Amino acid sequence: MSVGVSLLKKTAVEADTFVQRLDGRVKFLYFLWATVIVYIFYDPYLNLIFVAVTLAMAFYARVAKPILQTLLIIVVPWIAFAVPILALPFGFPWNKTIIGYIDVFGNKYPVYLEGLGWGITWPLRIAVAISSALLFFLTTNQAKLVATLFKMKVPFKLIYMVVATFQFIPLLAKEAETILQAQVARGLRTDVGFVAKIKNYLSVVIPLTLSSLNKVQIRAITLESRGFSAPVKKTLLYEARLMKIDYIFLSLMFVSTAVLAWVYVNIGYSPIAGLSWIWGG
Amino acid sequence: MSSEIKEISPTGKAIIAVVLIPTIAALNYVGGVIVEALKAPIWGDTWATILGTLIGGFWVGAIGGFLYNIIMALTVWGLPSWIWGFANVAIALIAYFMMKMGWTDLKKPMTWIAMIVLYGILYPAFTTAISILVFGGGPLYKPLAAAVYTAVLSSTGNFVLANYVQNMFTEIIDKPISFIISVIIAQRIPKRFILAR
Repeated sequence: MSVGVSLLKKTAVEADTFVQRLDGRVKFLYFLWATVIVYIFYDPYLNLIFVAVTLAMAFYARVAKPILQTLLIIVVPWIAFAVPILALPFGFPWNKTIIGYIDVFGNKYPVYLEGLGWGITWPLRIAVAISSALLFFLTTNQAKLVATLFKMKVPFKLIYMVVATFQFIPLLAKEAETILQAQVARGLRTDVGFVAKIKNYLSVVIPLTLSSLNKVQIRAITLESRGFSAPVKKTLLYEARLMKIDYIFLSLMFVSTAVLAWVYVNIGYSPIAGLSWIWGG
Repeated sequence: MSSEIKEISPTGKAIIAVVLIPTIAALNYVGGVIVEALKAPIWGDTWATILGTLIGGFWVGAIGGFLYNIIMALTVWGLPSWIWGFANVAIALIAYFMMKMGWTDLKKPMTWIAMIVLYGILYPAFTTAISILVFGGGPLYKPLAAAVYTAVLSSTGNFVLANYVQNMFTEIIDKPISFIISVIIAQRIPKRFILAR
């Protein structure tokens, strides 16, 4: 099963650390803030600092393992493909600064700074976005998530859709696994060609879709019976409220923003690596 | 006693749509997982958007697809990936257009022509714009697609063209197959779930 499903099967890790105690809105703001900052700057070292800070919080909150797994599956292969294709002379149009040569079977090929910078900086931007998002997701339980979204004035029907999707994914994934095992038991071969693989795909998704659509009506009746559409004020299991720790965390983010703004104005968009701006970078 | 079975649907269409949307989002996700399990040569995570459009109308497909991208952006893919939600809206729009034009009959040649032109050639132009503007372009981390990207880039030196051809190479197979899968499933769905007119 993919890392995605195993990840979305996880509910928030309950531990008594400051990360879990932080209000969902503060963690969500950190996720947005970190992502925006790494997009404003163009510096792989700065991105690495953000990844390191987020991972340090994740280790403390005991949720580092799934985050590291996701980064290994998405970001590392991306860098592995992007760096050789863009840094070597394969035609990346902004390449001009040679930083060294690589010897392949006796032939010397130049390695360009622009392609290398691009091939590392962009995937690391995504690494910051993924790790901060997962930190929010894995340390905020569903009751708090609902309360957070409710406080953010998200419409109630939309909140239901988001939370229901998180609930449906592991259920449908399990059902798909059962259907696949049943099909294999009655002779479905998986070591087949292109067209047969598409047919195999159909043999799993058709029963899965029909079964999940059958449940749609049951769920709809259940929601109606609980007064989902009733024109009354909704109540919540958990009341989101900002505490002292949230204000401290927000102050740190505010100070960091001020420092980074100063760096951007006085040193530039690539303060540590000193990369030059390229279009799309 | 009469043997006739009467189906009772006490719920309104609006509430069915509210439950259908997360189901579409979850089916998109699980579709991608099944692709991994079967090692099928497609992405497989947009067919439910098309199916949602065919059975629930444009908004059900578009919101279901968009929601799938939001969930993925908030968890596995990283925030900037929310922008791919608009790709799902485009997919739903094309499916809705084809449905309204009557191009959902797989026996008609026009269905196949429209499917390849709209999903295989036009849609990659949209995804190329997103991938360059938000993700900087560059090779995908799928070996064949990356090889196509490298070949076009090294032979033409055109960054935008290399991205477009790479996207077309993956979409021209994936999206028409997703459309065919959705049409086949939509034909097997009980009438009571068809909200689209």
